[in-house]
Amino acid sequence: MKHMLKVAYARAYVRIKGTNRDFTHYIADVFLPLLGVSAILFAYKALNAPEIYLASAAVGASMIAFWYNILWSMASQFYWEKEQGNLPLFITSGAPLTGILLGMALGGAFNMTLRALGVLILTILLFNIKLNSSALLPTLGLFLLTLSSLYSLGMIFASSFLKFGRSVSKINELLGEPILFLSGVYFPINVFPLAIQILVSIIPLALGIEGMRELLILNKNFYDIIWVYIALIFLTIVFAYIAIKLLKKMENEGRITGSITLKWE
Amino acid sequence: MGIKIVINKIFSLLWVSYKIEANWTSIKNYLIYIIVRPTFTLLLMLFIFVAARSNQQYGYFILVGQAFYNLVGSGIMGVAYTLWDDREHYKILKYIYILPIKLPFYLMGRGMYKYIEGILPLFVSFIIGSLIIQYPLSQLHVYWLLLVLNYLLGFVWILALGFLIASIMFFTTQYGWIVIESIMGSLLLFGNIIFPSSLLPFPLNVVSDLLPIKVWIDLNREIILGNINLEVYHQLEILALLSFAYLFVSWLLLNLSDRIAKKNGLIDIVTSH
Repeated sequence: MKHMLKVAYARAYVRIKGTNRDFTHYIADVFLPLLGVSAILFAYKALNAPEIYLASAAVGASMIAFWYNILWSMASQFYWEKEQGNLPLFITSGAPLTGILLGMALGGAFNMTLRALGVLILTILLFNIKLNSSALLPTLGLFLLTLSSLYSLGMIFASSFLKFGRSVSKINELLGEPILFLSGVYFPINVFPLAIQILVSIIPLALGIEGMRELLILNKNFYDIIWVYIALIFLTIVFAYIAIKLLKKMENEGRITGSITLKWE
Repeated sequence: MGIKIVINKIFSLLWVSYKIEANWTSIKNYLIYIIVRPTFTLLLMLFIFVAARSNQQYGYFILVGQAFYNLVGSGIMGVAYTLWDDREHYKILKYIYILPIKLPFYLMGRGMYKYIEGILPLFVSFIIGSLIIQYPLSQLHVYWLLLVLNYLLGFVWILALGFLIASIMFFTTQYGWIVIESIMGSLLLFGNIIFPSSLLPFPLNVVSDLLPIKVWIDLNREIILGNINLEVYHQLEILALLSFAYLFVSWLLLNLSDRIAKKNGLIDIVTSH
């Protein structure tokens, strides 16, 4: 366990240091989503929608970065490492892959939190969005649970994507917008029929965003949405368990079939 | 160069583009792949209208705006991303220089494929979108000839923006995506796509007026509805002027960047893979 945590720390360090050493990346990561969010908020203004829709879109849009981070920096990461020839090095080093995955998740979550905060704060300032500041503590708890379940899901993807070849990027693209749509990043998910609302509850992003909206915009308290917390804890445990099992399976299969290295190496 | 040779070269580029884009899966999966993403992007935007329960005309505004915006993204990526992908990922950019075609022509062919490919998701997402917002398709009286003309003019300014980004791509690696995303994000904000750009505060609304996308999207809305009058033809003229002006300037820039890149040995440099 101690060994795994050390590996996780090392991997997270590289990710945090690598992403933040150039401040222009941070500016771009905050500024670019802001263009899209602004367009959405202007659309709501054009529709004369109530203020809660604008606030709702602002909260949802700030979470988009996490989903893309899951897809491009978690799910496809081992595939890229394989392409660059690093994966066999990871395995020969004796570092547990679970530790590497955990480090990737922690580093990615930290980086994206800085960016999500930047997007949210600027959106609030530019569009004069009002949020319930007294709900910050339960929101923080909900946010952390959302991240833990989201990145556990990312660990499942990372393991299973090892199987794929060049189609990895296409799969990522296919998982991008559909999940953002089903998670209701720009609108409350109660616009969906009940059956779809129940179905999307297995997506941590949808649960997290909806919970945050209830707390920050609709002024509900912790007890009103306790089921969201419970669901996210449950999803974290289930996803993490599946991820660890799957990773072991993929690693073993890779050793037997020789798919850990590239064909032409 | 004879016209027949040019056409042959364009067909060859379209064919190779198709092979590059589609050879990772079966044709059926590929068709699903190219339809899914634009359709969900459209739904993502249309549900703003659904959530706010506004009037149907506004739903139509978003429907056309976003459906055609997806086409823009497809075309720009086809031109600009190709340069980056060929150099950094496939490492074949240097071989493009020994082909009997010029780089701008090659990028044009690659972009053209993506632009043509975008028609299928455009149609599918448009129909799905109109069903979602319950927009009566019977109210549409499409002037196909003008729509095709507008579609062709669209490629001119999309190619221009692709060239513009490609000329920056010569000198950047990690920032490549940032440049593409900046342009796409700006077009969404300033392009009259999901809200009337007149809502933008001064001087942002002026920026919008200088972009061909604004006129182009509005023309698509009018032509599909069948609202054809003298103003539409006037707008087509403006669009043609703007598009070719953009193309001329971006072509100059691309050639200039190409020369500088060659001089500095940047053509076959690989930095990120």
